[in-house]
Amino acid sequence: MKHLKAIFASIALFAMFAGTSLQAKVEIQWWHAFGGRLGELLDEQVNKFNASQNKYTVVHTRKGNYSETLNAGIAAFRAGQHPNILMVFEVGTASLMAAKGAYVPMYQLMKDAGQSFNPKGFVSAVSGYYTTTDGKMLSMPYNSSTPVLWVNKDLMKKAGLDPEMDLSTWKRVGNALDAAKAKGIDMPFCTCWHSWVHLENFSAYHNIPFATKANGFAGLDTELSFNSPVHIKHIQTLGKWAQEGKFKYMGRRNEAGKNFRAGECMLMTESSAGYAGIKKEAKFEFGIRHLPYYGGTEAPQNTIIGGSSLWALSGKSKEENKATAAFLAFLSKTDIQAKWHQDTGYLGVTTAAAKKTKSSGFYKANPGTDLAGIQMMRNKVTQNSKGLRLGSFDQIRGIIDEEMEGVYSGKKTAQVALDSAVRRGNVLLRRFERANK
Amino acid sequence: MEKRVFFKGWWLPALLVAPQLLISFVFFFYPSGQAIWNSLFLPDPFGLKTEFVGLDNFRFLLSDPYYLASFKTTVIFSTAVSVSSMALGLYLAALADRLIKGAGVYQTLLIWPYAIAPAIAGVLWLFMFNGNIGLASYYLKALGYEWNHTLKGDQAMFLVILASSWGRISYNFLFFFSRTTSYSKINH
Repeated sequence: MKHLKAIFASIALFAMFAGTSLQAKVEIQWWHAFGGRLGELLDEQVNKFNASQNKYTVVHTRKGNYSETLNAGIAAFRAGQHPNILMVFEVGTASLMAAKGAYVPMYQLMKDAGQSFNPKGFVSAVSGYYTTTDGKMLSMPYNSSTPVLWVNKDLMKKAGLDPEMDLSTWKRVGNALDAAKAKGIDMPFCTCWHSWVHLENFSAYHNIPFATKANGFAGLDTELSFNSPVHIKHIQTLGKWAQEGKFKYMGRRNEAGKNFRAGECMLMTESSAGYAGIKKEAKFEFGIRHLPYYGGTEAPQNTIIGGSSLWALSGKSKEENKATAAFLAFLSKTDIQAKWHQDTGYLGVTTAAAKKTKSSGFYKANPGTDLAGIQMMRNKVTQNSKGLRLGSFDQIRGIIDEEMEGVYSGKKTAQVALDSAVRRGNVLLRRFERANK
Repeated sequence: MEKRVFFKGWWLPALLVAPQLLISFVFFFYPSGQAIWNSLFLPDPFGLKTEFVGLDNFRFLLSDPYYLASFKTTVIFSTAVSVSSMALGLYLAALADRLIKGAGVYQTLLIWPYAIAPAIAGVLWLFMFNGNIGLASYYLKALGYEWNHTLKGDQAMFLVILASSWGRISYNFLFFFSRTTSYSKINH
């Protein structure tokens, strides 16, 4: 009998402790779009956070590519089964922002949780993308990159060119491509993310509007305007190069990266975050250059970002929101940011991380890795170069892709294609405006 | 008497049909009704607010020339897939029927593609014609033909027709073959 009592008591005691220890650990969910090397690095960050304290546990899940992750998050929200943190790529930013009530704004989340959080610590060119016009930060910048020009130096030599030659303007790039073609190089030029590089960033870099109303920052009644003479000139040039076999179009996303890494393509425009893969796989000497521009314009202004930010979705308990705030504050720490920046080629999104990377000698040891940061912050940001805030932009990009493919294949002139993309895209913008009045 | 028969004749059939009716209602009528109802609204992605817009969504869709063009694309695709897979299926069935020895082997081999899931078959064809790493595109290039279906619409169309017909040829072959064999048995 005594024994039995003791057993019961110990069970009760054990249950109590087990109960409290379970209760003490708050678990939160994070849905993201990273696999491969990036997924490993993300997992490392989460493990580090989970080991750094004993109150919260973060569980991360990959939901597919950027678009799939966004769609999964939205569907789950409608079913009330959404995660605490959702990764949303820059293209989806306007859709999230307009969905007031679906998320807890970052400044609010941090304030409620009592986290010291300094939005001024972020590089403004990055945080500006995720901040309202009255200066309130809505989501946490996670991975941000900007397009640069990648050079295969071995192929440059094969083309009889100086691998260090000036490639700052599209005219000079054109000359290099002529030389490469004449020497029988099969793929002198290729590009990833052609709308992002050759229209969206192109606009910011030349200080011309991609859309009216400060690229959509100043209102939902924005209209696309990427059919200006400078835009048309550039897309027509790409079309001409494609017809002459100097530019090979490999796909809408980052398909061309494979050709570059395999040593087939001489010059490629791609995100600065192509770095991780190129460094790992390229069996040739490569170089990084600033994105080229056209002389006689307002270029070079500055380029804009691509990548994603993290949104705290609404409808979660106070305790869970506290955990979310703690985790996001952890991610913005200088050490974490500096490591992420150096491993991936994404930008250092906090000023402190950029400084730390510089003082560690990383840029000197890896020449060219600082160009993306310089290119983004070289000038005071104008309303054409702050970024884009357009609703339904995922779908609009699809339209742009389709129209530009018509130019490369010689079916359309750049004027016809861009006019048509603007007209079709505007229809979607009006629908978005109507649904989000 | 008559009344009892009527009672019996009404309840039992109703009871027997009920499960089917219920399933049709739950899985067909209710969702389609809801879809029609929803088509009259314009919601935001998160479903936080919604606006009644009448027939505006239909107007939007039917005034889009690219949506209308998709009908033409569908007609071309379906016709090409049906005609090519039926014709080739019949042709192969006729050939297999003429064989005296080894007909079984050919028959089995010809049915194989049908056993491959359409999604897998699609990936395989895409892989073969991939501009970067595809074998088919590599050899076509060696022959001097530039294959790039990401850019050229007619090549993309040809590829999806090819991939879709490939699995269907087997299926059609099976039907034609059983028909031709039974036909020849009667004649012999």
